[in-house]
Amino acid sequence: MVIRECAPLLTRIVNPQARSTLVTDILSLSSNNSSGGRELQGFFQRMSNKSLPDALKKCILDTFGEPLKASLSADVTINGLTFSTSSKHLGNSSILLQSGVGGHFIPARIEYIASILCNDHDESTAVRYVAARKYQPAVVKYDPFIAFPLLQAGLFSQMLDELELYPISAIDCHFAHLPITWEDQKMMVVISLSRVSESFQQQRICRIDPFW
Amino acid sequence: MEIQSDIRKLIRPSWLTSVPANLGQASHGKLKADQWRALGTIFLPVSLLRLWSNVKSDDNVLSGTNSRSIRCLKILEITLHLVSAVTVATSRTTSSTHAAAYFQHMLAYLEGLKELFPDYKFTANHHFALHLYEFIKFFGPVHSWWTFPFERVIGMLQRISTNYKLGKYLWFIVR
Repeated sequence: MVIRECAPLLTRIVNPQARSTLVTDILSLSSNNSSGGRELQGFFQRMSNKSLPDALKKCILDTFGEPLKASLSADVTINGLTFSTSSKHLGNSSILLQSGVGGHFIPARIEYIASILCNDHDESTAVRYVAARKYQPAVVKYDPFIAFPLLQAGLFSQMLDELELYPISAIDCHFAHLPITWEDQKMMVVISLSRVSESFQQQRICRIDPFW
Repeated sequence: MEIQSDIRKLIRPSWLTSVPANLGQASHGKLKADQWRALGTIFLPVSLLRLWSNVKSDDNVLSGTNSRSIRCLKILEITLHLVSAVTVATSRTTSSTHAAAYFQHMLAYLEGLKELFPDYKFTANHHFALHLYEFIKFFGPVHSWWTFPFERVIGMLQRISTNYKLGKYLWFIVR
């Protein structure tokens, strides 16, 4: 039990938080696509849906139509990059969701990371989700970033939508954002930190695994 | 000052290469290549577009009476050509379309530079930059062949403590 409780600390020692763009490339070599939910097996026994935050319980109920058991975690590592909840690290919680449309991105903020148990009696059915709120699009007369699509930047409102569940695979990348006042409204400039130029994804001819 | 303030205010993930908040002062020393890249492709475009794009709606600019604003706008334009070129060139995926876009942006940047600063003396690196699109086409994404790994190894070797006496340590062990 003590070792289990210390798991986050031990993980941090073995896999320290990257502080450089180049280090994340190296970490991606030794990581799986996602740290998954399996390491949390056993935690569901003491974590029922009763101990979950009300907003998350409602979100699970709305999504699955029934109250399911879930276990919360503060972060998840995908391809060597750490994604956290907003209460832990606002920058690491800022994610772009895949929109399915080339060059289009949807910024959101992770509120909770939950492994949801689809079958009460089988912990292997746990699937990890992020509960996130999307940032609302900006309603402005002039967005200077539209003219430069290769920058993958744009204006968004600082207002957030309702909490929604997304599978881990829906996370595309992190984004950086700068809160500003634009046309007398509270806005933020969102800039994608994707390692791929979105505008050209359709014409890609070769791809390498991040190495250097 | 505005750019320094934006560097402090920009909310970013912990893995993103940090840039000195007191940018422009001698105290932070020379920036590393990756810091220049982060500064040029993330911090500067956000700040410069915020600061200088507003002059588009300025009546003085439209009437041509504010030459400084027009110049700022032109500098912004060529800077963003350079940023776009770097973004495309460092993409993890590449194609002939990427290579062509890189060339167009780099050429536009260099032509703009020549127009705005006629006395500026171009260096060999500017010439080399125009050939980079061929390498992107031939060799693929730059991450597979750029020299940052060598730089990192050199840095690692430089940090190893040594007494600057070749072979002495080995001789000591053998004895």
